[in-house]
Amino acid sequence: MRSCAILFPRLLRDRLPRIFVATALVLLLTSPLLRFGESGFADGYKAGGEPGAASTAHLVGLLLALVSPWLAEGVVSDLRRNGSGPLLLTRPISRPALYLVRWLAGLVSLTIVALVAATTINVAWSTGGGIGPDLSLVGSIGAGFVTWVWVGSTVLLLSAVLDRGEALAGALLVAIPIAMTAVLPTADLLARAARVLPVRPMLRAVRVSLAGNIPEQPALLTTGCWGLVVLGIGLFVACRRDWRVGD
Amino acid sequence: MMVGAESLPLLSSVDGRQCQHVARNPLIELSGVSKAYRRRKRQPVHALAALDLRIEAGSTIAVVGPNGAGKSTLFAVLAGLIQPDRGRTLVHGLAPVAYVRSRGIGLLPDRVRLPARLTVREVLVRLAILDGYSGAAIPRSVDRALDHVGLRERASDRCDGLSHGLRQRVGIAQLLLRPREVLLLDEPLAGLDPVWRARFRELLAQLRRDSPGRTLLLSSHELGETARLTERAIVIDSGSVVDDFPTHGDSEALERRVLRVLKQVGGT
Repeated sequence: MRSCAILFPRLLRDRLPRIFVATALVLLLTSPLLRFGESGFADGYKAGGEPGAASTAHLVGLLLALVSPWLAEGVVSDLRRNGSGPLLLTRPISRPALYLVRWLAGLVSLTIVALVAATTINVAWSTGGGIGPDLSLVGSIGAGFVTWVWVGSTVLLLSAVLDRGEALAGALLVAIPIAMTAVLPTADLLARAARVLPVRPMLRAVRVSLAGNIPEQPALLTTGCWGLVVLGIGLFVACRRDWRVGD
Repeated sequence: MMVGAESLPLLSSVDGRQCQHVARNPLIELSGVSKAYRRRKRQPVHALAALDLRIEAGSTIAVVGPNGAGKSTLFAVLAGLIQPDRGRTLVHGLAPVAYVRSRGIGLLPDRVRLPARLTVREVLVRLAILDGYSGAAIPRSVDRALDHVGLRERASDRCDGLSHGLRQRVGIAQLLLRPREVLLLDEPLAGLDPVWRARFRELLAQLRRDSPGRTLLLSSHELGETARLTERAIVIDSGSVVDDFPTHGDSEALERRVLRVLKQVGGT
């Protein structure tokens, strides 16, 4: 565990380029997407219909969910397929601890993205009437946590189960619900899936966290617990898997 | 650089004591170990087939056999990287994963994969941390390992720009950060030029001198070099041990016997 603690800042440093790019993506996409949302989607939904912080928080939450699989890249696949798995896993360390420290590096990375994005959006709004007002800075830490604990853990689980990289697992995670709503004539199935897997509570928790009402939001706790369950299963599956070493 | 590296100690005194203590009764024992790789819509590949093997402490063993004989799979099982389907594997009386967790195993994979974005030094620093080093001991151990493999001047190079031979040397360097009681070297000579093959022989000899109880398994297709490095050869074909004999350092005898055995069992 001590080795993993010493390793942690280095893992975070390795992720700095991705943190910069992910933050830039969130900031670059927030404004145009909000404007697009305000003009109305095909189904009549208007993001601008929820004025102020709520719509911005909703959008930033979604963007965080989209960038988190990319920040997850490296938790499993860098070890197994492209990286130094056999060299790392023959050291006298606990495998779950090694996974956990990499997962924690991803959590802190996404939280930094959420915090920097929220701060920038707030400053832009207060100085020049920018893209959305008053995202909670404390809530952005919670939003980073909830998004990572849920999306990051699910990506880790999918990656380990499918024996594929986190990027592909993340793409699947995003693509499956989109395909379900696009292909299936009814959104009923998605609604049922959303009840089983707390997609909506997660998004609500993120949105309300960013908007600064954490104490009033039981979904934050619920989705956090769900995410941790998925994380636990993910760690178990990943630690049980065989590793590629040759023929 | 290589010059002067011979005089550098491979182990700290603490490491030396640890190895001497552990070396009194280590043992590798496999009985009835089988492992099959399942493939979609195709017959499974039986990499290990009821393999039995017993290796005493302090042995230096050559594991030879044709491509696909199961050598890398055997090493992966011993290193706890894959679980066999059947059979029992014990390293020093423990299951491989438990043994690795408590003492670590030195593994040089047949293909040394390194994180592309990191430099040679960054990779070795991370591995040194996982080897239990902290503070000033981290750069010290990394520099020592880099000197042994002549990579001090390439330490700032990114791993994705390294040739096969240089990656192999990084692989050897990571073994030297904290040499373990059990070393598994899968094709260690692949990609090394003649100068570094000779240097590698010296390093192995030094590792043996530092800790006579150290157990070393080496797989290679280069039988001449292998005979010089090992005292016993195990021939594997189709996942089973088909021969087991002392090498006496005689490379020609080793080559003759391995070829004869493999012809008899149809492995060539």
